[in-house]
Amino acid sequence: MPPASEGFTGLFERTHGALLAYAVRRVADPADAADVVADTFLIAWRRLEAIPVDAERAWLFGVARRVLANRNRGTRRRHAMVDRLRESLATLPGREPLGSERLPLAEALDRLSERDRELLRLLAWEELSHEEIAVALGISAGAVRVRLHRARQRLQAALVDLTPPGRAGDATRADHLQAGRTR
Amino acid sequence: MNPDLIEELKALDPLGGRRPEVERGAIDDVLEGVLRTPRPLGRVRTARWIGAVVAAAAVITAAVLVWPDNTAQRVTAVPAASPSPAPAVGTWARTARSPLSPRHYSVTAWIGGAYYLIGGLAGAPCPASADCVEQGSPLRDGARYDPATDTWARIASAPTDMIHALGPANPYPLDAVLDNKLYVVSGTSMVVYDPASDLWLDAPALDAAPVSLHAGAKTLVALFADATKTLSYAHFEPGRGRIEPGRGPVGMWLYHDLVSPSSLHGVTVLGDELVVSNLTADGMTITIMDALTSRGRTTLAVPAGLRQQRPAPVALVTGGEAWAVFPRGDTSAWFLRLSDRTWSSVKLPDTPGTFVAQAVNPVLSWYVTPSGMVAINGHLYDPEKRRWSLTPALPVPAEGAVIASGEGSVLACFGSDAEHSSQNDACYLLRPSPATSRTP
Repeated sequence: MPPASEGFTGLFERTHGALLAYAVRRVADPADAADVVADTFLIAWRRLEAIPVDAERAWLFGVARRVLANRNRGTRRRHAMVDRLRESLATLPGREPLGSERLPLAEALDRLSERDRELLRLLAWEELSHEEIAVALGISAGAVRVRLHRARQRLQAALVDLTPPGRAGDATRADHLQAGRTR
Repeated sequence: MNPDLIEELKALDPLGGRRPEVERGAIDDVLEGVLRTPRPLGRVRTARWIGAVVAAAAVITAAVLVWPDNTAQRVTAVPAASPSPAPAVGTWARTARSPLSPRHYSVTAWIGGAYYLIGGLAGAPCPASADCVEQGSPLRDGARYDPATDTWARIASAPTDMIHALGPANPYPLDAVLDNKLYVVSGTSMVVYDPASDLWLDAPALDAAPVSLHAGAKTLVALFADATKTLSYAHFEPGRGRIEPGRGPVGMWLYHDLVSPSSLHGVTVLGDELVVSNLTADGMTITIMDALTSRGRTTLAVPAGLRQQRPAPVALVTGGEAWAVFPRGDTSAWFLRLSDRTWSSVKLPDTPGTFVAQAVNPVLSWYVTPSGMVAINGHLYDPEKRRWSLTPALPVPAEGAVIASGEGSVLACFGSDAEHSSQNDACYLLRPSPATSRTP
């Protein structure tokens, strides 16, 4: 059996980019993502044998999700090992402002519960499969499908509410979404 | 899922579908930092908050943690691997490796469910039997230990040298925790550490250097003794006074006279009551008063067995009561229950227990107070239940060990043997057994 350090190094090289992206997307200040990544990998190092080999990225996202929740509750750690990473993230270019055509969707997403938002983000931004989302959230794949369906319905309903009636171009979007609902 | 809606959601991605670009050296630092952290061995712990369910695999409910081999350390009573799914009770368990170098006389605190070890003097203390002065350079670095996750993390270094005043033998620390912040007094200066922001800030200074500092429910109390041993004190009111840019929590020290000449004295604060014990030629007296106003003074009769002993009370809060503990009477330890001002006692154990270090004179005692118990001649005792907890031997060499107690646990770090032929660099955590034994 290879030493744990080899196994962890392989895991780290395969997943650090995705984990960093996951964390940066979910913190207000990108530099804060550095400590989230450190906390997550420290837990992964200590629980290496528990990580599913076919869903390691999703498992890490699940840990990071809980680390973020703890940070929001005031439990924050600062790790010296991420000093350089923190500095590097602080120089990331700022986020592009959304075009006006995207604003209703952004607001509709904001209206959803955090649980629904995380489901949709894992699918759209992290591009996880339903089985991987199940690992990340600690639920069954069947529950993922049901919850995604409901989250989609709620997002569509919120978007329709936010789209003013009668504007040119919007009829196409509303018809399209309506069609999607009946599939 | 509507694929077009997914595409639209992707357009909201703050990273625009790309990975953040960071320098490779920064990534290497993280990998190296994690790999430097030893993996614990030999204990099965329920993965309470990591519930990974894989569709094609069994549900994972426990993670096997492996503790490192500790045979190189001179320690005692370290348990073998336990198959218990919950953290072991009644046995010392080695923690993850601390980022701190071995040291003694560190400032310790329990804040928000975590231990803080800060500063101290580097290396081992001067042996008790040797004729030498204290040695070791003063330190300012510190770390936080979370027993729930067995993780250490460095915290911001203190702005000044941090040495727990007079070492563990003396029950008068000049550091105290109030409102989840650590206040440390050096001379007349005070600084405060805020764990929430990991910042050290200046706090209002005192008019004179106190001899002790204590925390109540809403206030700090600093005790002063002048050349004639006349006592006075000040209490600190956070939030009062003028806000000054760049300074820490606002507050004011308000001074009170006690006018209580004595040759020896002791103070503790419970709630916002000040318990002052004085040893005079006529014996000991105890006065209780409101710490914020110095009014409402009550002088209590002192049990005969306590009247001529060192009057240093220790504050203890059990499940339902607050106690001033006098741990070293002539043959007994004494407990003053604040709610009804009644006394109780327990015979001192014949042999010292875990939380006592061997020394020439006096005996060094760590007055740890975990889980509503207090160390009496080194054995944990619950005055409310009138029972002892069976405590295993200290796993670190007692001399110069850094000992701290939190809610439900005790942390022991470092220490060296009497000859200083080896210094321990590890830390251990104990979750004490419930107090159920009639004897220590």
